[in-house]
This record gives sequence, structure tokens and C-alpha cells, in this order.
Amino acid sequence: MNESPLSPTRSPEEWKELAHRYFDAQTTLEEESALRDFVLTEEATDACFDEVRAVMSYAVVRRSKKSSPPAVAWGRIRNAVAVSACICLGVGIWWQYQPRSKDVCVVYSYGKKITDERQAMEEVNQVLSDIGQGTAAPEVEQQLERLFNHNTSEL
Amino acid sequence: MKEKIILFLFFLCGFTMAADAQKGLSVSGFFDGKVIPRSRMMETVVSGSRLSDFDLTFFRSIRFKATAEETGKIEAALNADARAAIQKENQRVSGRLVYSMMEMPPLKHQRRYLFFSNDAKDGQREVTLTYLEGRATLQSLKNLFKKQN
Repeated sequence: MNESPLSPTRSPEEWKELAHRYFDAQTTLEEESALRDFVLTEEATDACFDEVRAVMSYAVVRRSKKSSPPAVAWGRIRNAVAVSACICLGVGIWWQYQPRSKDVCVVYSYGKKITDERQAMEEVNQVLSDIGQGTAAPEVEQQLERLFNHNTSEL
Repeated sequence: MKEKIILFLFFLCGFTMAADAQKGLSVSGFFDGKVIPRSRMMETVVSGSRLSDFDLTFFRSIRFKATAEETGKIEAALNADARAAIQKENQRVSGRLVYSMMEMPPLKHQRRYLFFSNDAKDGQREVTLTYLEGRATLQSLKNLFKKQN
């Protein structure tokens, strides 16, 4: 225990003893480092060092895995996309059921588009005026019909 | 499976957004130019702030010279829509429908009206078919224009 842990002059028995102490968690960091270096040399042919190599390799792999960036959680991303899509859909449907507010003023004159606001509003006024009168503008024929045979019916 | 459901809902959403206001009415085919070609009609579409004075949000009207057969088709479509109407006013002369005004069941909290007139102009029958949407009542529209006339 008092000899230098990095001493290159350890006998095979001393390395075995160090390995036992390693498994008993009795080694210092310097001793563990020396043991690691030793088990990687050609001198560590004894089978008892195989276990040391296995445990140290596992520890190294575990450490590197812990320090690597976390794997992308595709499941969470997919759920987030699905939730976002549902929200967009909900907003879209809500918007669709709102009263119209988009300004449109257009006349299609025999297939030709005319963006003449005055003409469009004249048509609006004409139709609403007819509604206001409660009937279409009477013709002579209709006026005579009404005079002699008033025929207002329900469908 | 989840992706398929989302795609289906998107498709449904797009379909409903593309649908026009007067869709579902028997007369919608006339507005769509399926019965009378657009090249024969004068169509007016107004929506938004320009109609706010009338308490309306949407106005669409078509006006065209109609043959007796076409007039018959419109009357048949109006008869079909009249069955669902909340209120209606019609005027016939010699059995021919010359005026019709009906309020359809509201949609999206908006009142809906169909207006039809069949006048003689330049020796021909001129038909006007109008679809209105808004919060205005039929009486308020009549009152508004009675004041102006």
C-alpha cells in the first residue's frame, strides 16, 4: 500500500493483489489508472485480469454513452406535430364559421370580370329596392291582372 | 393511422372552406353556372364593409334572360327550397311566379334570404336570383328601402 501505485516494478502477484483491491473498491484513482494501463499490456495474460478489462471497458463505454447528446425523441416530435395540426385545424374550422368580413365587390358581366364598385352597388341597391317594394316592378299585363283578378299566392 | 386521420381532417377542412354560402340550396346550380352558362348572365358578388349599412355580410345575384323552360327549372328549384324556408312571400301572375322572397334557416348565426324576380324587359323575360346573408331581418330591409323610395 505504501509503494508508489505507478511503480513499473510491480510483480505479477502485486498486480493481482491490486486487481482484488480494485473489485473491493479499495484502490485510489492513481492505482486504478495504473491498473488500467497494465491490463492493456501484453504482460497481463493471467485470466484474472480479463475481468478487470471487462469491467473497465464497460465503465468507459457507459461513461461515453452518458456524455453523448440525447437521442432525438421522434415520438415526442410526432406527437407535437399532431397536436399542432389539430390546433391549426380547430382554428381553421373556427375561422370558417365566423361571419364573412372579407371585402369583395365584383361584377361578372357575361363571363367578363369587372371590378366596378359603383356598378356592383347599383345592383345591390336595385335588388334591395325591389325587396323593399315587396314585389317586382309591375308590368302593364300584371297591373291589369291585379285589377281584375288579384292573385297573390303562397308556394 | 394517426397520420391518416389528420390527413382526412385536413381534407375535410379544405373542402368545407371551399364551399360557397348558398351551397346546399336547390338554386345553387344556377349561381354556379351549371344551368345557365356564365356567358349569358350578369353576376354580382359583394361582401364585407360595403354591405354594413344594410346589416348584411354577403350579396350574390345573377340576372339573365330566361326561356320558359329555364324559368320552369328555377321555379322548381325555388319550390324545393321553399319547403325548408322559415318565411316566404310569393306573387304569381297567370300562374307564373313573378316574385319570391324567402328566408332560409340561418347558417353560422347569419340570416339567409333568397330573392327571385321575373320581369319583362325588351320583350323578354329577365330573371334575377339573389342570395343574401347577414344579421338584417326581412322587415328591417323592407323598412330601409321603403324610407329611401
